[in-house]
Amino acid sequence: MIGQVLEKIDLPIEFEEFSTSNFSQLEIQFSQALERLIIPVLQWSKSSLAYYSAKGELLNIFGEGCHCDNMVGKNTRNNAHPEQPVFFNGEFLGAVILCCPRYLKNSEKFLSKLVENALLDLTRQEDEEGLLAELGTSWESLQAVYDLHADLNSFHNLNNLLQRITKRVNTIGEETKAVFWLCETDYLIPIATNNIFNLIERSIDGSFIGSIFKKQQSFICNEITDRKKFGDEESEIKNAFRLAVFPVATRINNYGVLAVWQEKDINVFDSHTINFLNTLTMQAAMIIETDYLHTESIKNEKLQQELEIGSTIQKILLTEKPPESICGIKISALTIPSQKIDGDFYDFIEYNDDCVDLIVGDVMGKGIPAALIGAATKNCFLRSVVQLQTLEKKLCPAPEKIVSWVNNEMTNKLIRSESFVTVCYARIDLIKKSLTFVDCGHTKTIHYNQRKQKTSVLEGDNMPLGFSVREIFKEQSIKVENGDFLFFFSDGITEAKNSNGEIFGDQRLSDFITHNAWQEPKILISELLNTLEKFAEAKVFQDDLTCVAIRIEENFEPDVESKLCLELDSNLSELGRAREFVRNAAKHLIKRSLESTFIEQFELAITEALTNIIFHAFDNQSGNQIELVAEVISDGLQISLTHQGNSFDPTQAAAPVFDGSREGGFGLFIISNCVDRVTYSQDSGKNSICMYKKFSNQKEDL
Amino acid sequence: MKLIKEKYENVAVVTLTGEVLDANTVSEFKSEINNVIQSEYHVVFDMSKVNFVDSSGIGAILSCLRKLNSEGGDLKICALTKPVRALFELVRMHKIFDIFNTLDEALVAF
Repeated sequence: MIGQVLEKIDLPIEFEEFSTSNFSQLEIQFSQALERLIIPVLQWSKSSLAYYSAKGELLNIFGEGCHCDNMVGKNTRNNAHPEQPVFFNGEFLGAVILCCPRYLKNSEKFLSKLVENALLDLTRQEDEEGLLAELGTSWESLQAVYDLHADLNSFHNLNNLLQRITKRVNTIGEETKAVFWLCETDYLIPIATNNIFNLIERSIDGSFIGSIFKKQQSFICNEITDRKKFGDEESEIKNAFRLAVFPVATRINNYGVLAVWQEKDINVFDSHTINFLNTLTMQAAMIIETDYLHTESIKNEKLQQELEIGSTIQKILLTEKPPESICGIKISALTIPSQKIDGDFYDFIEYNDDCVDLIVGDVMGKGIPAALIGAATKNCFLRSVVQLQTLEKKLCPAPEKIVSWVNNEMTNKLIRSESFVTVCYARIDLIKKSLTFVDCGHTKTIHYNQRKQKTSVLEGDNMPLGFSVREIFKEQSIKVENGDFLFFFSDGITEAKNSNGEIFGDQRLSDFITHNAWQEPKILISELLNTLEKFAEAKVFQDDLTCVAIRIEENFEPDVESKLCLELDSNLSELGRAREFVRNAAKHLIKRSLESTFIEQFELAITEALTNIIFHAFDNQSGNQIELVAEVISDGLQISLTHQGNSFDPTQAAAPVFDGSREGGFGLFIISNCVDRVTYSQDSGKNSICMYKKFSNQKEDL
Repeated sequence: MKLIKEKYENVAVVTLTGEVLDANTVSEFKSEINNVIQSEYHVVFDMSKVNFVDSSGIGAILSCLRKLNSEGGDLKICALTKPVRALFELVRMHKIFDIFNTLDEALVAF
């Protein structure tokens, strides 16, 4: 039927502005409902949508994606332009045609869904109109309208809703004019009128309607005599014969002003009219408030999401589990993200059993950007350690070099993101019993000395990272003793506030450490948290709380030797002492327990190596010196044998024969199978064989 | 290294009493063992007391085997300690020698 109706119509290629007077109110409303739903869809599908009224006239066309000329003629043939008739409560409202550049899958389904939703919208609008008609008669109906608006709010169309209210003013008299002014930072903005144009915003101070907003008192005058009270900008009400101005407000907020006036003496503003206008004002206030609350709730939701992301970043990227395997020290750490995420971070680098680095840092700024910078900085530290280890061929590069490297890498990035990072980089060396640290503007570290029962603060004078690429960082060293306690923390702890606005402060923290330093770090931290919660009378803090507590155990005595040396004579009778040397090295240099095969294999290797030297370097002549040095190097034991005898070229050695036909030639084969690495070197007349064997991943039994 | 020889019928059981058989002790072992096995055809080395053997020690034991074999005799080894057995296996000598866990097993095998 529709197709027949539409086929008779010649479609204009370009549309001139057309009057809406030919169309019914329902048709126009349906067109408006379509408009609200359709735009994003059309942009996506590059198509257009045409709406024809029941009489077959083109009422509106949406989208510019596709020419709609002659589309009626084509749609029946290739189905590229599906059409959908529109019925509302049994009334025929015409048809909607979708014009696509090409055949779109499901376009028919889409079109029918679209019409269905637009009709639903129309139904709601109808309901609302019905309720508006009852407006002012009872609070119940007002509440119903309010509820409806809460639902309609999903369209975010505050102006549209207020517009409908201003239109209701017409019921007082055809030529009654109305304007809603919404207050935005000292200005009143006209956001809804009934057919008044060219209104300009005006300041609250110096205008008459501004004064109504300020005083929050209605003004009602049925015959204006004194027009001087209106401001220069208020030209629209200068000709008012009678005027009523109502402040639009709820208990929560003042939103604006509704001005209603007549320029001629039409209908007196009697008590019934005033009541009606009051109700309209109240409803407007509620609509605005709903909109405001809705916007706020979206903001809060976003904030909540941001918080959750931030706290995940904090957990995953910014903090690490403290190492547990280092004998001689106990480490515990805590981080409590606040409502505003800081970029507090910490990390540990465990070089070996005697040496551990700790990095604690705080990024200037809050939220996800700060957290991400924190993660990047932390990552940069780990990278720089690896880089320096490779470059300097050193297991533990100097902390000041590490910090300088990171500063170099990060500064330009930090300047670009207008941020900087305070850091304390600390190294605990259990052999030297020292703490070496580079403090870059971070909160001072507390050091409790158990012997003197005194706390002191560790502070450096380096700039935070991100100030200057050329900054030179200096490290400092202090002695630490058994039983000492080190406490690294972020300012969230000392700046926790109580209800009087008093901060927890350095002194309270220092006293707390002094009294609790005997406790295990884990317990000390949980006690501190209790203390802070009691102090602040809250469980949520303004800033992130981050701290790392380290205790050097009381009865810990590491072996001070890091090297073991022995001089032997070039005599086979020394072989026993060489093997004893291996056992001593294992006992004194290595604190962990080793499998017996580790020592047995090393004993075998050193026997073979020394035998070779005595036979080949010294022709079995005694009276020559052979120096043995044992060292623990990167998780393994290294023993070198150095002498000044003949050099030896392992490449010239014959391969071993395993068939029993030869009684010798197994030595080198045995050495290379007993240790993980064998190197031969020659330096100014000295020849060395160096054997290295890793502690872990020990080879299985020979 | 002191060696103790005991006769079980026609089998000579030689117990190595020293703990170490390395380049330092091997020459003593060689001169001793030559005397001990000179007139023997069937010999068992009881190695239960030896904790350390190096490549020289292996070579010396291998030399005994070859000597006995060349005269139609045989050498069997028993009761290797863990580190010594590990070395035998490393240089594949467990495939050359007949090795037994106990002396009784070794004696039965002749």
